[in-house]
Amino acid sequence: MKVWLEEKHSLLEEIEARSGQKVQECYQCSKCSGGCPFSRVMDYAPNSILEMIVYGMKDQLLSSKAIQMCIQCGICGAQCPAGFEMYEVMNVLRAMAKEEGYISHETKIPKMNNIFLGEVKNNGRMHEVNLMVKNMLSQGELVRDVAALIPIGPPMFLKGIMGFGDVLPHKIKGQAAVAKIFENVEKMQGGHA
Amino acid sequence: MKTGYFPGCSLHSTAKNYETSTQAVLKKLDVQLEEIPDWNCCGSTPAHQKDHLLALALPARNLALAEQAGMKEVMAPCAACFNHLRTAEIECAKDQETSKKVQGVIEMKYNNTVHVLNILELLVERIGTEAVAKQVKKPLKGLRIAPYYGCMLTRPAKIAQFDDPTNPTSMDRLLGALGADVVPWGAKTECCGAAHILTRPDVVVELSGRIIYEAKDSGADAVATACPMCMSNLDLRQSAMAKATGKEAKVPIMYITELLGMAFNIPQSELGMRKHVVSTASVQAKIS
Repeated sequence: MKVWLEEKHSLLEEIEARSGQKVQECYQCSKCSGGCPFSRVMDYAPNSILEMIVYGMKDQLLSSKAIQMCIQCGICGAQCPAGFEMYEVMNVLRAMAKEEGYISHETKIPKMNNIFLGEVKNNGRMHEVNLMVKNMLSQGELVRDVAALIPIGPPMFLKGIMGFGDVLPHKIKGQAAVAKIFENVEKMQGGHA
Repeated sequence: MKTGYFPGCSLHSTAKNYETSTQAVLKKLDVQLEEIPDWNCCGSTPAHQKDHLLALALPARNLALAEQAGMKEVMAPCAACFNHLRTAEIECAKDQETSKKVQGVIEMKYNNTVHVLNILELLVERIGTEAVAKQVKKPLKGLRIAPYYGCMLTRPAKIAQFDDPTNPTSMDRLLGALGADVVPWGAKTECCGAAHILTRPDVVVELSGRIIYEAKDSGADAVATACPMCMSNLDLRQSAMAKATGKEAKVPIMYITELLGMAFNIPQSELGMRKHVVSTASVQAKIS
């Protein structure tokens, strides 16, 4: 029993220390979840996540969809009566999941992130057409995604939102320096980046 | 006035009209924009989600380049670029250890001397609404505009350090200076769903739809935005919103700089007003 208690407190302590947020001060008013744009489609809502940390439910938390859906819009922090910044907790949970090699139940977002960052590494800038096409081909929902493009693709070209000059990516001069940033981060994080 | 300028990837592709209107408007206001030479992508949400050090290093290379070019301030019109550049600015300035680590990763020297601004900050706090009002040739009288800020201009508050995190008013004041009727509404700082459009379009159509229908219910003629990601979700997805809800959308979305340009009587070809999926003709007709 004693060991179990220590373990559950170590998760809480680690997250409190890394996020700078006092998880235990949360009194479950749920305003963070009420304001969160994605709580309805998360497997665990933000206020539940805070409680799960106290209960030490590490595996569920680190493989959850919820921590991959947070984009740090910051509404949780802006609305919290305890002045607590929930998104910092999400950031720490996502970092821990990566460090400890957890496989997330949310696969599409990390996949899209990798495609996006691959473009940045290879060109120095993000290329919207490449990102869209590569993402569509990798997510396994080609029919849905192509159907969604039908009403917006042609008008984008007709109205000049996109031109033919946007179809091909071009590299910035310092592309190698940008690629080096990725390599250096990778090295420093011991392969976890 | 001279200021450093970070356009960001979107302003060079789907948001070209945000760039052209920004340049045209700031020229009228006597602001010279000096682009950071050979800038790179800020890393946006994917870098933020993937690795904190990468999310600091990518924008930091731009800050270091700006510093080398002698810039003291850099203005980023894209709300997300602003947010990520400012994160790097603040975290490097706050902690020497972080700053050293970041400089090691980018293999460049950076002395934390560059301050990052968003476009509303530049217009309202540096230039001022009085100077803006002086340039108005064609007041936007009778035009009902819903000011939309989204998330990244004002939140997280400790990063953005700009305006009120949930009830900002800087764009309201700017629109007021143009003579527009500023619509009070409830979706000022709601999230449009952002980059989840690529992975969960259903969710984004619902979130953006709420903003559009709220604007419609409030009687707005158009929504004003200062973010290319918000523009793309709000403008491009209205047919999907209508399909999901059975209610017609058709709310024109305008960059704040396009509205400024209209009021300054800058030719529409210079502003890029045609580059919207939802036609802006109704807005133009109302003030001409």
